[in-house]
Amino acid sequence: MNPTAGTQEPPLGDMEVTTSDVDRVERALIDASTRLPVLVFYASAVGWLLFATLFGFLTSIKMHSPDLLTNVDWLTWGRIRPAHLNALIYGWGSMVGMGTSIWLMARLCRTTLRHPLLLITGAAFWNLGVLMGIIGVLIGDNTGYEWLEFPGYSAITLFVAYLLIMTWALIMFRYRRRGHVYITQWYLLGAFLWFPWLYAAAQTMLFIVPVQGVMQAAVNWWFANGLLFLWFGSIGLGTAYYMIPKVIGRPVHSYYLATIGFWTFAIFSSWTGMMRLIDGPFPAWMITASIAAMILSVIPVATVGLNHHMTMQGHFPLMRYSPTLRFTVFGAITYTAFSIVGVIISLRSMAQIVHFTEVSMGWTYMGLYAFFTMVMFGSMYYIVPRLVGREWRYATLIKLHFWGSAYGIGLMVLLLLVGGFVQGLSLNDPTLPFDETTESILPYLRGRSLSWILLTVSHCIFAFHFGLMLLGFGRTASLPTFLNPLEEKSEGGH
Amino acid sequence: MKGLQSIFLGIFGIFGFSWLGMTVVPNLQIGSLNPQSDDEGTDIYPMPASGMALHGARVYAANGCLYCHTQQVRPEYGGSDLDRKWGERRSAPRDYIFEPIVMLGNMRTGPDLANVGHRPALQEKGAAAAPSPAAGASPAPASGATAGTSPVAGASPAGAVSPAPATSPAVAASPATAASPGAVAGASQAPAGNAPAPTASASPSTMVANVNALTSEGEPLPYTAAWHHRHLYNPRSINEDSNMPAYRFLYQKRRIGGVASPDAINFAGAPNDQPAAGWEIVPSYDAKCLVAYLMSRDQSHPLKEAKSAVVAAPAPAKEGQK
Amino acid sequence: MNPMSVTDFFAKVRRYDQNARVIFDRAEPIGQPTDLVLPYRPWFRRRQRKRTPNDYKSPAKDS
Repeated sequence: MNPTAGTQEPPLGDMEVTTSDVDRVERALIDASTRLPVLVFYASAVGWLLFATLFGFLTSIKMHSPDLLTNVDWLTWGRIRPAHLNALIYGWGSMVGMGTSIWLMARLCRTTLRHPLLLITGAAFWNLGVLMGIIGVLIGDNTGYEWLEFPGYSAITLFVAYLLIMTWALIMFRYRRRGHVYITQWYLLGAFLWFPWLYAAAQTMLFIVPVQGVMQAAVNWWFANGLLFLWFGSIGLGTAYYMIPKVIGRPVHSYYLATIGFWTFAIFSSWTGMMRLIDGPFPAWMITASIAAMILSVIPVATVGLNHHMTMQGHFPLMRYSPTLRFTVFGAITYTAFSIVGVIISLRSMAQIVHFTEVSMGWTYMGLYAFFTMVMFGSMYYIVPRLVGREWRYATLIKLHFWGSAYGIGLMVLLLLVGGFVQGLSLNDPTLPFDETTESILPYLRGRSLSWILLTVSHCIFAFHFGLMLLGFGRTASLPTFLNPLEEKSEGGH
Repeated sequence: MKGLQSIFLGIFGIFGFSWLGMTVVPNLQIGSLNPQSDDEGTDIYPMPASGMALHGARVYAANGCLYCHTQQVRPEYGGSDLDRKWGERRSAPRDYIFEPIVMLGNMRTGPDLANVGHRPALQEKGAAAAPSPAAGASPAPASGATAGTSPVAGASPAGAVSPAPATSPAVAASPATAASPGAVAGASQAPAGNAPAPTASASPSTMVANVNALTSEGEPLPYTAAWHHRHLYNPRSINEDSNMPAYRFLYQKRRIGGVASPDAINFAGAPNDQPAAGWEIVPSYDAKCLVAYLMSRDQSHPLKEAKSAVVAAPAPAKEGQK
Repeated sequence: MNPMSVTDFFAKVRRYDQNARVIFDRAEPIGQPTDLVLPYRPWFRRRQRKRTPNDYKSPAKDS
């Protein structure tokens, strides 16, 4: 076997010259420096997750029991639905994504976190923005654009918050330790540069200098798919590229493949927006371009899938022991499925049936939850102990969380995809009155509420467990903790 | 570091490419369309929304109607929209140039609404066009409407008087406001639109004319203003299987003054929803605006670029319409 | 094409693979799983010996 495979040999950088103790202390210092900002983001995110879950559950129930709580204006279905989705996207998704990214960036830049106040202020403003936005939507200030429902006063707050956070990221990057750049950093850099552009362009072209007519819809969905792929997708992929190799202790199988995957991902994903507007009132070339982009995005998806699979070859049993690995691999596999489903529903013959049905919701949730959220859960299971200096206390709670979420989202996606297809068949048959379409989807909607029960339980368990960690009730590890290097044994210690 | 520079450039460049290609360039192509007009400069379509319909768009957005209803008619090869009589032609970009908020929608939990304001006129026209969305359990009230004869109506074997298709809140302006056409304020407020003849483009006056239409049982004709109010107040009083939320908070219950308000909801045939004697349910301003907005949903006016079911995108430059 | 490009290419690929090793160091080297693993243990019993992933790792190649 290649003697350099064990890689104690120093590469071009200065990294490996240090001793393992110094490495450990350094890493511990970096982790300690990230503690407050990252926990602030995580705690906020978990709070929003609970809110989003509650409202998601209610939204689901009201779709098959529409007379529930029907007299209250701020609880009408058309308001709680965007409140739920926006809380999920901007409250939970964006904040947990930023929290994980902050920690990853500190680790990968190999420098302690500077200017934590920038981040904490940013988090505060972001929370404020989301809160104002949710309240705005519930009282009737919905802008009318999907994924952009937050009214102006909220949007500007979010944007200001983001500028603070991005400033921090750029400073960190500027002061990073010289050395190799890791693939995760590419994805995170991408995400952090793409998001403000997406958001500013959408806000400008829809509200400040509004484009005319159907261009609004084109901008809207360019933004939404952009957010799904280039903000959430990018953070999720970058995180997986760190967590999987790190947990199993093996480098990425082919880094070269990973870089190809990044560029093709960036190129193709950004063009997919119009697949939400197939056969709509647009020039045909726009729609065709998006369909082509969806199909071509199979290339980056395949590279990522192949890479992870080969990296994990022979180490799949580790998923039994590592919550991080479990959640992350679930997410990574779903990413492949999500892309395949996306391609299928973009094909015109399929779109004719499934467009405007629950399939679109199912696909969105595959991306937002089954892929992104699960990867984020995995990253939290890795990162939080390194911030609080304690291990997660109850293995059972972790397992319940995993299975609750896995079955919950699996059931939901299955129901929405199948049910949506059935709905679409009915919709597409002009001899059937519209009633039939409603009838056909109802049983699936009821099933979806069941899946929300699973998700609600799972999230409550996770929030509780996370709360224990915040309060210091984690388990003191008899394995070395990562903030106290002296207790460790050198053999099999990790 | 040089490598990093190229990563930065790549990240910016690639994304800039998509931003240009997906938003800026299309905006050049379809982002500054003018309305279509005929040679005399009359018969301009579309016309800007105004008045109550404009506010109604905000009410529509505020209450999330766009999450269940689309407002785009797909071409014949794209789906069954035209077969369901949700429009006489596919939607084109020019239809939306004056929309305050373009809410094309992404989900059809409920039927498409692009032409919901046109359906009363279709019913009025009679046999020429199969009236109202074949989709729904067709209204089949005895008077005027030939819904009963429409081929699709056969699909609702109850045939009988189950009015209204599921969940389409095609709300007509309330009868009282209709009486003063100015107040209806629907989309085509322009004088040109007032041609009384029931052409394919239902003009406001035509809509005003039939807005009081009732069935032989005294129930509001589907898709008229009164019908919309009733539907919004309680969708299940019109269609039991509907899962549309009830928008009661848009309505107020109050004591009948000397004379019953002309705005009061007509609950004929729905005794469960009828308020107690001496009380009436009237729409709030928001409800009236929402209904005005819905009544303004009308893409029946022919467009040169979207005549047939299979036409492709408009090419404004060639049209000389700019 | 430049006759040096083949050598350059291999150098590039090797550098890429070195990039892949960047996340490891002497303290958390390649071959060493790093997550705080979920040991099989009953609730509240803290002191029992934990089976580490190393016990279960299949004899795979290192990289």
